[in-house]
Amino acid sequence: MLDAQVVLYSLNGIAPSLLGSVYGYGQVAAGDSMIVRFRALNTGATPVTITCLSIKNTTGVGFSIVNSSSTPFVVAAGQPMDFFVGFSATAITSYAATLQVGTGTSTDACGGTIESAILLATVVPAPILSVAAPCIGPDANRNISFGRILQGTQEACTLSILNPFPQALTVSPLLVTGAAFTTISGNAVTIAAGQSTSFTIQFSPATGSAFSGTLTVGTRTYTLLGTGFSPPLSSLVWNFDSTKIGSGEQHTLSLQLSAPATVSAAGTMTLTFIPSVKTVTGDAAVRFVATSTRIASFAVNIGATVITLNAQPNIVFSTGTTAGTITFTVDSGIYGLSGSPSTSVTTSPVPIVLASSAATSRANVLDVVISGFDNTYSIGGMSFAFVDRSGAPIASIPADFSTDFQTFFKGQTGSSFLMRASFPVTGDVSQVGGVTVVLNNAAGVVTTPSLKFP
Amino acid sequence: MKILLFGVMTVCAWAQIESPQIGIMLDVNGRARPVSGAPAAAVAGAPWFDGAVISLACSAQGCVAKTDSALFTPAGVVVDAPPGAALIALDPFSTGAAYVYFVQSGRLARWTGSELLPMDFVPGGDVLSLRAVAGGFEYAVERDGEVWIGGKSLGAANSVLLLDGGGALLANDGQVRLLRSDGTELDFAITGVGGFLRMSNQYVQVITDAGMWALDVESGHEQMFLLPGVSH
Repeated sequence: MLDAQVVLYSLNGIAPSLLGSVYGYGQVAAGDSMIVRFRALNTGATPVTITCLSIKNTTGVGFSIVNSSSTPFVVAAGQPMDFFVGFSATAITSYAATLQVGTGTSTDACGGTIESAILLATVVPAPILSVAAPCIGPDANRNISFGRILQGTQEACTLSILNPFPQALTVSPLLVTGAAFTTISGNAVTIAAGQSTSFTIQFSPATGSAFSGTLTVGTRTYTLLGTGFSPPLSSLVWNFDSTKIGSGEQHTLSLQLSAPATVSAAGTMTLTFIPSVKTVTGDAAVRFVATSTRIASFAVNIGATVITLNAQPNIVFSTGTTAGTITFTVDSGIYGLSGSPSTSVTTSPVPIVLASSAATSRANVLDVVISGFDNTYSIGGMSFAFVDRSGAPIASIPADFSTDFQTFFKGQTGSSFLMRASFPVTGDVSQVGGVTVVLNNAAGVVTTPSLKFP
Repeated sequence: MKILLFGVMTVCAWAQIESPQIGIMLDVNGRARPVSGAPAAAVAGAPWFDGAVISLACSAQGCVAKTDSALFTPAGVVVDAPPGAALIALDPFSTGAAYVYFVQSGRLARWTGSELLPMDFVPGGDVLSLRAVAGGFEYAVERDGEVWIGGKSLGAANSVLLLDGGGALLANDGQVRLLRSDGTELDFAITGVGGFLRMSNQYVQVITDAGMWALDVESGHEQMFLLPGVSH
């Protein structure tokens, strides 16, 4: 028996309430819709098949089943079948309908045993709400936006309620909720026919975050939305350990704010590098050294000016071995930043920088070993001035290793090099006492010390 | 004679070019990585292998490394070794050889390049560092709160590395002292030093709480650089 096995409930949210013989939708604004979820619960120990799920509007036409499983529907023991009944009408009057749930035959689905309830609703006049700038709305979801304003400030919006009906309309309740939203209007207002009334709602975000509230205008509820944001961080003060920054160096960068932070903030600082040498696209060594990356975290505490970088008071970066421009950019995210978020340093093209140089000899071969870097990538032309054991010149030999270097640089991510220039000789190698090497690049000339052969 | 000699030189000169090698470093995860490039713009390469090295020493002749249970070389020679850290002194007088002191067991051995030969050793204190010298080795010990090399005290230090040629590195009180055999000294301000590691003939890795540094110990080139870290 259905009445032994099936019990009807209405649900307010997820909480079921036993459905009596009458269920009231209450007042519904003209043109609005209201949907209620119902549940047919099989309380028996065996399955039951629901074949009938119907609404019979008895006074006016306003109720309808808006969503349900199709029937016949087998409900397992202990399981529910949920369905939704909506109401919407425009005529200002009362409405009634009968909800039927039953198990009938295929020819008389709603015959036999039936669980039923009477549904009631009253359509009431609906005032028209409008919102003036700077607020926006209400939209289709009845959201009214107050936008973004600085935390600790206030923004007032004027709202108007229009009574479009030919008789006076009392709007009640008229309520505002939400920590950041207030109004000085009363809890109810009576509006003459065809007239409107205005009131203000004030948005006062105490913190830099999103806020929401509600505005209830009679039977309708609107969502109030607004965001408070923190004041932007003050401008950055970039501190490099030196005003002269060149290639092949490590430098320390520290950051400060020009004024104490009004909020604890965090974000990232990135490093980018654009070579001034057209033949290369980058230099992998230009980066924050300790992490071998080009990004670092930054943080500043409220009231402080000192910014930590990767949780340290400063950060070390390498300038690499390529001439170009290194740019540091702070991304403070939602906190914002006054002034420029970036600064750049430029490493100029310079003559070849020598790290070491030496001369050695093997049987019938003289070797000159030079290491360093060329941040112009134009090394190649050289001259080797050999002297004898007494220091007297023997010969100056020009050489052009440009092709060798260009080939080498193609497989590198920087301009560091270790070159072994070899000179095969005939005769007594020990006669050669030393050599001085002049190396050229696009930025100038550099000369090694006088290198002695052992 | 001169004309003949340099006529040949002019025609036949050639150049070999490669990336300069700084040495081998241990990263924060204990991976041994080659470091190349200009010192202040160095790049760390891929680890030798996917395992942690706890002791390492490198020179122009090569490297000797120790895991928890083995001694090995980059060439692939691997032998079982006592557990724990080791002090490794490469022998510049015998290519590929080294003295190895196993800290946990207090045992000393001679590494021939292919095997470990135990040696009698009674140090008379906690051994802190070894150095090969012609015909043998020297060592530093801690005794009565000071570092001693034989009968000479170097004072108090948290970390010590004996350098070839008679010099030494000592870390104490926020500075690293580079002592030369001629009695001169250079000091570098750096805090939190936890140890030294010989990266190559020219560079020593200085391990600190805040990062890995390379100290150029070559005379006239003394300078410190931050070594590249590991990007996660």
